[in-house]
Amino acid sequence: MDTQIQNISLKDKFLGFFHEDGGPKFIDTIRREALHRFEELGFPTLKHEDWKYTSLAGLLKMDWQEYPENDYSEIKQVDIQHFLVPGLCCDYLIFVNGKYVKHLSKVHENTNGVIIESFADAQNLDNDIIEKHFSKYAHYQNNAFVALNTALAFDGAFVYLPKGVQHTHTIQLVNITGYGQAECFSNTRNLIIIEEGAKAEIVENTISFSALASFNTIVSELVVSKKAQLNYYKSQSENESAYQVNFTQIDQEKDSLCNTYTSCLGGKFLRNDLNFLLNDSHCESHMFGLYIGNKQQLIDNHTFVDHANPDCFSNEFYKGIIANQAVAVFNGKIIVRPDAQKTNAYQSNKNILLSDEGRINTKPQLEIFADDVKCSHGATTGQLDDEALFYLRSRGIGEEKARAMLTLAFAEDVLENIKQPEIKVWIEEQVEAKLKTIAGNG
Amino acid sequence: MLIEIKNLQARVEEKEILKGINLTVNPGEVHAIMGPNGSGKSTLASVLTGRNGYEVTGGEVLYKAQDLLDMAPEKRAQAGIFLAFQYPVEIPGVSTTTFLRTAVNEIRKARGENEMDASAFLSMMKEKMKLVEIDQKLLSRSLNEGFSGGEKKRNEIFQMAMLEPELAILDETDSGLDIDALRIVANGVNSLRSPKNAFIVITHYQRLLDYIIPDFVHVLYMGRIVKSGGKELAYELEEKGYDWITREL
Repeated sequence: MDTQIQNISLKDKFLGFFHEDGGPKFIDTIRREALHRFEELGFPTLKHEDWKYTSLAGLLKMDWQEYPENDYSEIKQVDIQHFLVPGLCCDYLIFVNGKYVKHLSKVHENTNGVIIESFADAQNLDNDIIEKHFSKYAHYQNNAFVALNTALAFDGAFVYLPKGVQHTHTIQLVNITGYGQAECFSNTRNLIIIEEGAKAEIVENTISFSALASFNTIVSELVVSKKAQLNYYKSQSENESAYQVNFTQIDQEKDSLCNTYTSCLGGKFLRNDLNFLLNDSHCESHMFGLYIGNKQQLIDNHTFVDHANPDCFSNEFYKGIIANQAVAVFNGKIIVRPDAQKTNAYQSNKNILLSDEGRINTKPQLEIFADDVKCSHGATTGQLDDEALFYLRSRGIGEEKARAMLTLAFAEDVLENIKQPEIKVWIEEQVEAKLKTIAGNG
Repeated sequence: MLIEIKNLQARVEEKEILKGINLTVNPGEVHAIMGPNGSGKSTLASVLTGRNGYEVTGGEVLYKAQDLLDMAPEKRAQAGIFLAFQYPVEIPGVSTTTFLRTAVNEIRKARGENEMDASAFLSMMKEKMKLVEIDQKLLSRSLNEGFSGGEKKRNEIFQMAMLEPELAILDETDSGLDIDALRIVANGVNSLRSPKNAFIVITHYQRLLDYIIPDFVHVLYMGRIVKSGGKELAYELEEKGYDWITREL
């Protein structure tokens, strides 16, 4: 059983990557427990419900190594400028191969207690906040990748906004993977705490430096406290050989507002888990997502909204465009717990297939245990509207261009929800570029 | 001759609809095609513009001496054919302005002309908007989205004005319109008539032809043109009904 042996040896290899990183004892303890748990769990297989449509075979076949030690001093500011959102005044942290690179990053000085720094630094500097929150939200007990990331990640972003602070700069976290060496493996761990009444806008993008293959796990824990607000943009546009497993856990407290925007354009293999825990009443959450798959891409978005409390509102709107032999998976889970009266929970997933070989697996999963709720869900998969195509062609617009216009219009339906103009334009341009590479193939 | 339809036969899903249409249209002419429901009026429009789902089983169509049936829909439009749809589709996410600008430029490119720049295009739009009394607000929205029936029909004529076709086919443009909307649409069409272009006006009712006065009227019945005449034929039909024709046959 070749694959079994492969599985075991990759697991053992990853277990061997563990080493101490000079952090505080409480983190070391958690890391070791997580490592042990990863050893027990092993990688999920197609038999696991949450991985039913998403095969790890390709990932497990590769010979992943650790990135060699590097301070990345040879990379200059000018090399990474184009990874930033144009026209926005940001505080930005640059990570290369999972490691924070200070000389490429820039955080404005502030006097109101805002902390935006590398997690590796923070775990020693701000360890009381870290100890309060680290690993309290993204649980590794039943998730092998969270366990793996918890055990092995030594760096990522730590963002802390004290009570009442309206942070005016967009915070950009840039993960550059696959620099300098092919087939390497890294882990990024983010912890983002927004205290009562504070407000933040965070853009997280993962991007490949070149065409080299890479595998990256990213686990982010976010706390949006009472009356706080967060706009969180995830832009995933790695190269065609990149593997990413991304797990985001958001804990919302009373009267908070959290909007997430996920744009999946790149990578060979991308698995997002986006989980919301509505941990008190009167939370509002909006999740927008757009995924565009081409060639042999696999893009898997799993979302989970836990309506654990009454009077909360959640709205989820994801759209997918699949071309050639790409595969998309969407699984939207909503649980409305028995005490969560007056819940409003909405979910919509719309997909178009531009080819005969592409595949879309979409599954809404609603479990409703309260009785005074308003919930709806809808999932569709179709092609471009024939009537609309004919209409455009009857006006002299060629078939290829007409398809491109309709496909872009389909995507724009999600993108128009992005209110921040610079970010909207930035993502729109990436989407248009991606659609251009698909044009002519469907 | 602008367009010459010779013994055109076509079917939809195994059902024969057009059973040998003969029609010649010259520049400067307005031809009305009238007929009861099911006679093949919409099928004729669809076949002439290249809609999917229609199979030509015989005959030919020469447009400016070219084999029209061999041309893709966009090529027919680029060659100067325009269809004003009976049921214009809504296309969310594509603004009317963007769409029209693309269409105008694609047609110009096909003719070897330069593309229009943004300001030239906007001036042309402003000028043509007046013809059909269409509101600027409607044009910045998504194509036909939320438009009333009358607004959709006026948008068709507006597009016709912008694209300046040589042969315009109006597919039951009057259906669903009240008298005021009808008048606006008809005025728009009339202001576009010239010795260089021609119109095929497909209609069930004679009413539209009070406003768009045809040179020729043809009666389509069960897939054939069974009677042709001048504009008086339309009044006779109005008076006597389609039964009069079918009884004669």
